[in-house]
Amino acid sequence: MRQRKAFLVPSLGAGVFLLAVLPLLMTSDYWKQLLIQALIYIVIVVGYNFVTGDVGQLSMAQQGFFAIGAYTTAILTTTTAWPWWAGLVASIVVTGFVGAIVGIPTLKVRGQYLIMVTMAFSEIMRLVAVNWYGLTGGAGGITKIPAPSIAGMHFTSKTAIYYLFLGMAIIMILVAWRVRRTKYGRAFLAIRDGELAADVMGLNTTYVKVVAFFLSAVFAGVGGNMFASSFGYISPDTFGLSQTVLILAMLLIGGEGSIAGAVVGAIILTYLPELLRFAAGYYMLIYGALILLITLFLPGGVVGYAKKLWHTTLAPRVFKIPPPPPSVYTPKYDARDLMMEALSSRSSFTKVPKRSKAVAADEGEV
Amino acid sequence: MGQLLVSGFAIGCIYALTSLGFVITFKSVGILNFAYGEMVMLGAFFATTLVVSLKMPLILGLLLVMIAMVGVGIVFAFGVYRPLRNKPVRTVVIATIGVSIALQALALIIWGPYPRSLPTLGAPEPINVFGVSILPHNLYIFGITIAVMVLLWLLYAKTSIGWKMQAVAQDAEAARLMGINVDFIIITTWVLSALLGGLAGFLLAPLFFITITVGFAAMLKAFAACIIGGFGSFPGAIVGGLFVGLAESLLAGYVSTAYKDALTFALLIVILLFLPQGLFGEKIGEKV
Repeated sequence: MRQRKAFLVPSLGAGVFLLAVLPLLMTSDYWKQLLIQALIYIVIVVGYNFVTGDVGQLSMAQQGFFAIGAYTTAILTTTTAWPWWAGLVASIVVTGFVGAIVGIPTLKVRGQYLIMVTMAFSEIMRLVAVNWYGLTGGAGGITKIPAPSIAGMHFTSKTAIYYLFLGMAIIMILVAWRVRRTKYGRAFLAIRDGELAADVMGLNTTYVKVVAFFLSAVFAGVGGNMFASSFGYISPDTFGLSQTVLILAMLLIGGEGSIAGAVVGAIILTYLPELLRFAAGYYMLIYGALILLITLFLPGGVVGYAKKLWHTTLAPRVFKIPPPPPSVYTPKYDARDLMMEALSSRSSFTKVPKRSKAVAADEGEV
Repeated sequence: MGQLLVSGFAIGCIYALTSLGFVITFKSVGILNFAYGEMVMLGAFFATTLVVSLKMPLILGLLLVMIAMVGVGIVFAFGVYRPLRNKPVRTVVIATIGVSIALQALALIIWGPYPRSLPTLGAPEPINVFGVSILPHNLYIFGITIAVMVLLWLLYAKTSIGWKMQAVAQDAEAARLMGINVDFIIITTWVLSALLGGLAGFLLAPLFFITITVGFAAMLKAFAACIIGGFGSFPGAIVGGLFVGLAESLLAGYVSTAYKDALTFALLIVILLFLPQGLFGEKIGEKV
């Protein structure tokens, strides 16, 4: 443990220092803009992780909430004289409210039905943004959205916005990290690992899923506010289905079910277009192929792979860190097997197969 | 009213074909294929290349498109299905979206960004039937859709290959033990899916301008149709397709052209609130 601490403190310090000096290293506004974009996506994807990574419900609604958050801030700060922070509060309230309202009926459906309903929700939001000209400015969007400002401080330069958003992103990550250690965080994982079992244990699964949906929506609302106020211009084009795909790809490529995965995925896919700039017209081709290959060959994402690498190779061989002592109780079977055994031993005297067919079928199914 | 019904029914027929092709792979091999729309797109682009650029007659063009789609189906069976067959559903969804993005990019490189179109089947002037003017193309759509459905029904109900396909869909392992060549049946399923998608693309091309995004839009509508009908059900896919086509047309005519897609999706959500399994969905208990 002490070894780990000795390792953690300097690396944390180095990380903070690096984050602080990053914008000073970037010479052009374009690169600073990318930093800001990465922070925005970090907030959105960390939020998305609640529903899709932790609870394991494949939702396509995140970009709909992102759109609502962005439009709420944009409309309030341009048409009324509301300051930026009031727009942020409004974005959080509105997306949280919509998230809970939408979550209640949609989370009763599952699997492909949930995918379709959440996709339909996002598409409806985009189509409303295109067609409700009086409120959203139609396809032309909303321009001249004021930059962030709090208590007389105006964050107009890219560097200032970066520091502000860095603070916001860290706060949101800490919130997410804290939520995972509450009863809700544990309930999320319980539903992912076995919804029926969680239900039987007395967990109100629909309620817990709505909480996850609400949290995801709030994070997307914050991301929407950051997006609208830092770019100064939004249009419905930003909120198409490709945005949903991007958010989902960020989570899966980074590694679903972990905050670090969400952060890493958001950073990788923000910078990927830059790394592949030489490909020009072939970029989308490479992007599509990369998504396919990473999901096929790195099922736990980049972070999952790094963890595996650390535990199997780096920690024991390179850094000579002894593996943790084995836990006191190592179950021979998982709970389901034990239950199957208990149930079947009552009625039959044939030997119970090590893995019953029901268990095998259950694991193979969708 | 009659006019709206006819055009809605024509679009609905195309959606029904698209939905059948979309749902067939899910029912047989459990793959939710988000790259399916690109089969529709490829069918439409192949058709424009053959008929418009190479000036072939439409029927020959259709024949060649179908042959090309057989190839596309085989490529999907090996390139998409084989690596994804035992993966969880989210992996399948995002991986097939990756395939979809790559195929769209490929189409952009080959066919360029400009919209293309195809001449209609039959004369371009509408004919008058009981006071409703109908494009002959729409009549062809009705005829072809009905013919395809009868053929599919015959295939599934009357031929041994259809029975084998049903057996594989129910339990691939048991089917293999019964001596069925499961790999061949699965490839056939993918070819069938590609044929239906390509045909839908061919019929769609004269009605809309074809760009690289046409496939994803078509897939979204097919997905919605399958969900309304009950996912995994063939009658459900057909009824759902017709329903979405008619709803779109009537909503555009009586409510708002701009909001027709938004309203159709809203209708879908409302339907699912009352029928969470769709119209023809199997009411199955959850497995423990």
